[in-house]
Parts: sequence; structure tokens; C-alpha cells
Amino acid sequence: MAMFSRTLSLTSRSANLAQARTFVNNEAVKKWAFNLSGFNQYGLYRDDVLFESDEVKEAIRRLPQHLQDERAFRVQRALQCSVMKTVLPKDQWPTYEEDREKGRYLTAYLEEVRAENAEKAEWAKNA
Amino acid sequence: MASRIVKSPSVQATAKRQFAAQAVATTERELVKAEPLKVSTLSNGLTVASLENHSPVSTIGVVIKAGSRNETYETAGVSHALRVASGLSTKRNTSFAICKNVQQVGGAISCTQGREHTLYAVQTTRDVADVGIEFLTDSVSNSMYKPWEVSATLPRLKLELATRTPATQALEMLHQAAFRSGLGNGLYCPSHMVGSHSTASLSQFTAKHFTAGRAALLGVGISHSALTKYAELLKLESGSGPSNVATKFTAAELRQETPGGMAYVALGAQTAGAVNVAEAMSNLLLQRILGSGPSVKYGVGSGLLSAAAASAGGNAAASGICQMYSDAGLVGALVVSEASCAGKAVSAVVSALRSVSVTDEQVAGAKNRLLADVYSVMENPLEMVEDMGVQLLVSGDVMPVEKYPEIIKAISTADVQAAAKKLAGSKLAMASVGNLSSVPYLDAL
Repeated sequence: MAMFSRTLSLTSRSANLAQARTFVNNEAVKKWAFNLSGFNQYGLYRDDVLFESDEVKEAIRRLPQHLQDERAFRVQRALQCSVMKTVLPKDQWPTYEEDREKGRYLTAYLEEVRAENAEKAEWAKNA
Repeated sequence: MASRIVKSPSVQATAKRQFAAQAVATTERELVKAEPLKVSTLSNGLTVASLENHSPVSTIGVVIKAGSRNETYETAGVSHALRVASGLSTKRNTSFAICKNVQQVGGAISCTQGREHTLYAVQTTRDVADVGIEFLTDSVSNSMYKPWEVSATLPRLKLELATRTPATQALEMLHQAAFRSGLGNGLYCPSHMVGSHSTASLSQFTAKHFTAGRAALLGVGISHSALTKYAELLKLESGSGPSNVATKFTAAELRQETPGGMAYVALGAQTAGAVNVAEAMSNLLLQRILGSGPSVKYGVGSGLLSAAAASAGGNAAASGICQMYSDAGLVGALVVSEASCAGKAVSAVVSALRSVSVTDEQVAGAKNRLLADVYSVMENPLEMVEDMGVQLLVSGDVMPVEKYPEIIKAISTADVQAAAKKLAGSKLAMASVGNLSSVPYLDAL
């Protein structure tokens, strides 16, 4: 009986935890945050607005040429909007789903650059 | 009085003799004999060969039957691109990791290529041979040829192209003139193809040719059981890849004018390939009779051709060339001369080639030189590994070093004379590089 109650309390505790994790970690909240940040109104993807640190610069250098060209186009279009103090028409804004699908083009390259730098730092540490 | 006795010659001599004997006794030791060569084939078709010579340094190599011969017109130069791209990132290790780890254990990975083979080798001390082999096999089987890494190797490719000697250029052009495609493809990337080799073309070349049936794992200074265990790390597709297109010889000519005051002319006639062992050996002896460079530093060299080149007056030198491949070979001469007397030197060398004849004494001398050259190759474990690998790929078997003296002795003067007669009657292909103001065209020779 005591064992039973312990099992019951365990399952109920995990359910509470799961609920706690989805308080902000759900689609609705993410969509709201995406729309609030507003970079899609300039026609930009998430990876276009990353701050260009040395790592990001190296990752961009490794992009295939067509991805680099598309990024350059989107940035130029956004700069034009900024200069004209306007945003793109609503039908040209990338949607949340489109950004999830196409907007993380740089992430894989960036992770690779970070891993390589970490490896080099590790060797330098022990050298 | 005692000191006078000690100083007397009889006491001194006895003491010296006894001390000397003691010294000899303590330094005598037994030399461990090298074990014989062991060759075995694994279930996936990979050949494993090892020579345990108890050396403190282990030399491990993976040799693959892929070289410039396997290029097509569209993929010209891909083997050179592959050679400079050795050691780049693999699926499991970055190029930095390979470099650092091998350096850390004091090893070195190298990539050497011939027209019909590519050798990736690692040299380490015996105790860390496993580290070396791990990165070597990873480099051979899992290379990814990432686009940004391949383009970072371009400066190295251009440097190798720029630092070719004119003599090398002449030999490359001789192959191109004589064989056109296949063996005629150069070991160096043609200038119009520099930078055009992508990840896709490199990966396709390796996928097609790096298969277990055309590869061998070789070791010098490692036991056969250990090497067979490490062979599992080499993940190659099974199969023996595409077969070679038959070689055709054309007695053609190529000329390239370059600035300067020297002319480099290579001449070659067709011979049978290395599979015809007797003829190949006779041609190697013939090369040494024709002249294989000076044996004394700053010397002149004592071959038939050096005499012919010297007769032209001015500064000219000539030596014999003998290149053996699996199904064809080239035997002939390389003439290096000042531009003004190059024409006379080339004509003299060609007439010497067309009237070459050998004596017993010359053949005996050539046999000694050939044996010395063979033993020099055995001195260097990297060259020995390459030699073992090429023999395995071409003939499926490695000749043990102990057999060489009797094989060389078995060649008679008549065999070499027959090879000389064949050379005398053959059509020559020609390649000239440099200041060709006086160098005649092939049809005028």
C-alpha cells in the first residue's frame, strides 16, 4: 500500500513538471514572440539578424554561394525598407512556419565553427 | 723498480690486450633477424602485407590502385587535387584534430602518388602505431572534402605546379605525347583545371576507385597479427572498381618554349610493362648502361649517353630513363643542355640510342648498380612500403628481398642485348621544354 501511494505520487509529480515546462515552451508563445520581434516585417530570417561576430562571419564564409547571395539580397531589401522608414507589404512577410523551415540556414555551419573553435581552445589549454 | 716493471713493453702489451678483450666481450650483442614478409587477403578483398623488421619505427601505408591514369577528360587533374587534399576533415575528426593528434605522438602522415597508385602512409614509433593507424584509416575511408577546406588547398596546388623542375615537365610531356590519355595523364593538374575540382568530383573519384579489391594495407615494423586487427578500421567498399583501358603508344612530339638558356629533351620508346618481369629487368639494366646519373658528386656519369652528349661540345648531359607501368613502359633518354649545343646533343643521343649495343662488362656493372639501387630503396621504409604496395597491386605478389640477387643474376647479356636491339629499332616519342632554338623536330631526327 505504501509502495502504491509512492508510485502514485511519483506519476503526479512528473505530470506537474511536464506542465511547468510547457508554460512558455509552446507554439503559441513562440509565434507571439516571433511576431513581436518584427524582423520578418523587413523580409528577414532569424539567421539574417544574428550579430556578426567572428564565428558568424566564418560560418557565412562557408555558406554555399547561392545562400550567401540570398542573404545579401534580404539584407539589402531590409536596409532599403529602413532607409524609406517603412516595412514590406504584409503578403511578403516570412511566416513563422517559413522562418522555422528556411530561416535557420546558418545554424549547422555556426555549430561546426563553434565546435572547431572549442577544440582548438581545448588543445591550447593543455599545450 | 715496480714502476719500471709496469712500464716494460711485455706488461703493457698484455694489459692492453686483456682490456681490449674485455671491451669486446661487453659490447657483443645478437642482431635480431627480420621476419619474412607475410601477405594475406581479408574476406572483403583487402590485401594485408607486413614485414616485421623489429625497427623502432612503424611505417604503415594504405596503397590504392588509383592515380592519374584513372582520370577522364572532364576530371583531369583530380588526382593531384586529391593528393593535396589529404589530411582534410573526415566524418569523425577535423583536419586540426588529425594534425595535432599525429603530431602529438611524433608521427607524420604523407600522401604519395604515381600514375597508377596512391599511397597514404604514416610513420610513428612502435608504441603509438595504433594512434597513427587510426587517423590514417580515418583519413582514407571517411574524408569529407568540405568545400571551404578544398579551396584552402589551392595555394598548395599552385605552389606544386610552380615548383616543378623543367626536367619533370619534360617527362610529363613525354608521357602525354606517347600515351595521350590514361598513362598520358599528368601527375600535375593541367592549368585550365586548377580550382575546378569540387567536393563532388573528389568524392566521386574516391567512391569509384577506393574499394577494397584495389587496395592494400602495408606495414613495415609491425607484426602481421596487429596489422590484420587494424585492417578492420579501414572501411572500404568491397569490389575491384573499373578496369584500365589498354595503353596505346604513339611516336608523337610535344614542344614547350620557356624563357631561359637551357633545353630539356625527353625521348622514349615503348616497352612491355612490369608484368613481363624478364623484359622489365633487362630494360632496367639497359637504363643503367645508358647512364643513370653520376655516382660521384659533381662527377660526369659514365653511361653511353653521357659520352654521346659530351661529344656535342658545350655543356650537355644525358641519362637513360626507364619508366615501368603495369601494361606499358617507356625506355629512352633525358638530355639537358645549354640552348646553343642542344641540337647537336639531341642528335648525338638519338644516334647513340639507335645504335646501342652492350658488352658483358657493362651488363655486369649494371647488375651491381641495379642491386645497389634496390637495396637503397629497402633502406627507406617509406619507399619500401610504396614498392611493396605497387608490386601487390600490379602483380598480386611481393618479391622477397632475398630473391633479388638471383633474379638479377639470371638475366644474361643476350637478354639485355635483345632489349637494346628493340630500343634501337623502335620509334621514339619526344618532349622538349625550354629554349628550343636549336632542338630539332622529331621528324628531322
